[in-house]
Amino acid sequence: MTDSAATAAPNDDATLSSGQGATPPMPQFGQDNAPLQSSYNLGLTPLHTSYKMVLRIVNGLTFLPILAGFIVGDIILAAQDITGFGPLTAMGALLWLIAVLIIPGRQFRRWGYAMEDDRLRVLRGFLFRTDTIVPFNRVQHIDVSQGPIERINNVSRLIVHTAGTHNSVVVLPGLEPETASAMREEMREHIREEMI
Amino acid sequence: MTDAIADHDQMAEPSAEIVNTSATAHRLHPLSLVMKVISFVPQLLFGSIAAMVSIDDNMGRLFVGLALLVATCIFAVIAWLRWRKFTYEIAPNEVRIQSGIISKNNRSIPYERIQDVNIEQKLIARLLGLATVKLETGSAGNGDDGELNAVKLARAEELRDTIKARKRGVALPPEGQAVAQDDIAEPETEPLFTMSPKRLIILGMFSFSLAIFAFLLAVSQNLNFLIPDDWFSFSNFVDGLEADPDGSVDNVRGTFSGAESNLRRIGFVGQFIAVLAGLIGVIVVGLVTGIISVFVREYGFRLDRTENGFRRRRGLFTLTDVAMPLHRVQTAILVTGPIRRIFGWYALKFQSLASDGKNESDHVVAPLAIIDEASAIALEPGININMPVSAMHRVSRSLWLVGAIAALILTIFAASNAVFWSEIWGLSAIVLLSLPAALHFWLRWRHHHFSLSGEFLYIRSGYWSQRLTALPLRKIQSVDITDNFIQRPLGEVSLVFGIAGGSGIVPLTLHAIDRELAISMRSEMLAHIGAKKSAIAKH
Repeated sequence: MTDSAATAAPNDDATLSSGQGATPPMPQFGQDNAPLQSSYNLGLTPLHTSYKMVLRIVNGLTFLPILAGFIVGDIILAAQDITGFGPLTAMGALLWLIAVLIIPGRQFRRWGYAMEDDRLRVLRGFLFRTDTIVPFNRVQHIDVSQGPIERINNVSRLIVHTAGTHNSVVVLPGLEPETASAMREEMREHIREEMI
Repeated sequence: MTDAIADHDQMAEPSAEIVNTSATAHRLHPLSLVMKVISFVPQLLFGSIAAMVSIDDNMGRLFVGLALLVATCIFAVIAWLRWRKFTYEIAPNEVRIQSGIISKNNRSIPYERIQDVNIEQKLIARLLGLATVKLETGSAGNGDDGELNAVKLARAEELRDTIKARKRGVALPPEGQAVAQDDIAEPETEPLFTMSPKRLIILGMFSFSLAIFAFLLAVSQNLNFLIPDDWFSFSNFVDGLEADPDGSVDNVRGTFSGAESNLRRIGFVGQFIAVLAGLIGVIVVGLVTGIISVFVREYGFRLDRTENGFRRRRGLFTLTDVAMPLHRVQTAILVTGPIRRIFGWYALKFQSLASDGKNESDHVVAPLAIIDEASAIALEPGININMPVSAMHRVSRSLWLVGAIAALILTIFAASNAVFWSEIWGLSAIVLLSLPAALHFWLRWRHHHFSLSGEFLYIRSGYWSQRLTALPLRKIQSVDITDNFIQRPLGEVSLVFGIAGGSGIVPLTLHAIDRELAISMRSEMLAHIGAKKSAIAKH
């Protein structure tokens, strides 16, 4: 068990593993492997770069109705001679371009994952960040799935199901299909070992 | 594998006497048909009353009456067809349920997958001597499991014992046969916990509820066609008194020898007494409602320790008999309210894979108990809930400071925009609005404690209704470290735990702790899971 602790936290000092006794562990722990630093994904494995394209297409489609709303608003205002045609449409187009060109890159670099000896770690989110660890022996079953947009860009998503009500599915998108299957196989191997 | 199957075949012999035909399909009890039809009666009555009231001509009424009669017949025929097509079978390896009139559904539930066998008796079922057998498989949805609605009560108990014995037989090598036989008639031992009528009344008083008034209001709004128009008008009561000087009121006047009897003239003391009487009346109604609801739900509460878990029976009209294997207990939760903690009363709940009925996600194992009783019950699945506050740690002050500052800024913003802005008004508005908010956040922080001790993580939360959650580390399914744009510059995070069962909306969370502490706590907790690998694999 010390093994697994050590792999999770390479810089763990001895105070940690000895913390099993009666005394509750309180603050003064070393500055070990800090996740959630300001650096974007803490040196975890980034997703495949094709996923950026997926995010662009998805964002472009999601923001399309908003863009349409801006254009319609502009037409109405122009028809009532309040303003000339143009400013609202330009604003909408600007927002849409930001959503398609700038935001995907930021979304993308906040993602990170790590396959460790006995656990999967997934890091995600921009304003609200989450760093999830699922021990392999807690995995119920695993899906590898691919939507139409993902298929065009040749990426898959790995979906890990746990028994927990919170985090009952942990989704890791933007993996190369081969990587996703390899990860699935590795986790499945672990699950089978646990059952025996 | 083949050995295992052979075992089942051996098993089939002794159990054949228990459930007389072990390999053939059975129908539900014919009286369950009666039950279905009875359950349709209230709707039917309601429909016919509504029709009678809203339609004035006799032809129309006759027509509606006929339509209702036809509907009832169709319903009865469908119910009968359903009953005819519904069969269940206690097969060697599984329970098989066939149903469906047009589209046939054939469900097989392997014994290994059956987690609990629960028996429930609603009021009508009890009058008919029937019971519903519910097979819980631990699948997330509630409706997806097997339900036999309904069979004779004795038959239901027989089925439960047989299924449990079969389940045991699957899990155990040959001698399982003997175990199974012993297990069939579980001897009644001393219960682990019961609720005496006195306790029920105490619990009822803590369950003070004014829901009855909401109910009456709803009834008065929906059924107002049955009530005279001016029934609720105040003058109906007061003017009635005044307008009747020679009637009963006069007698009162006589008794009080000339005292003013009109409500309008009874003076300040009289009004005060009237208001007081009204308040007392409301309180009494609230208390009685609470006591009645507690009696209906908890009457005859009895928790037993069975060979592999707990068995809980309760209910006044609807009897439920719930089994809960020890290994399904995920966390123990000790809950107490603002008044009951003064008297040292607690409720103990177990979070389990299955939800407890429709409204509760956790299984109540002791509705009202003193701490010693509660900790004794919690010790059965090996959970120590004795964790004094003094041995626990506080979380970061930012938990309340951030909320309080946000409330202050918001109220200043709101007040400065108010039309009636003046210094006095603005200041008092700020104080009146932001102080309670700040107090709320402060109390929340003051009552949020945690401790990682041995094999357990303890989290205390809530100031009005307080709860202490004892989470065995080996029951952790996943751990999140989360932060947001406010917490990040402060270097603080929250730990969110994925645990089986319980509420998905409000997961167990440890708020506002130092980032490094969270990271080290998580590695230690996960290391614990690694150590217990083999123990968990069985589950």
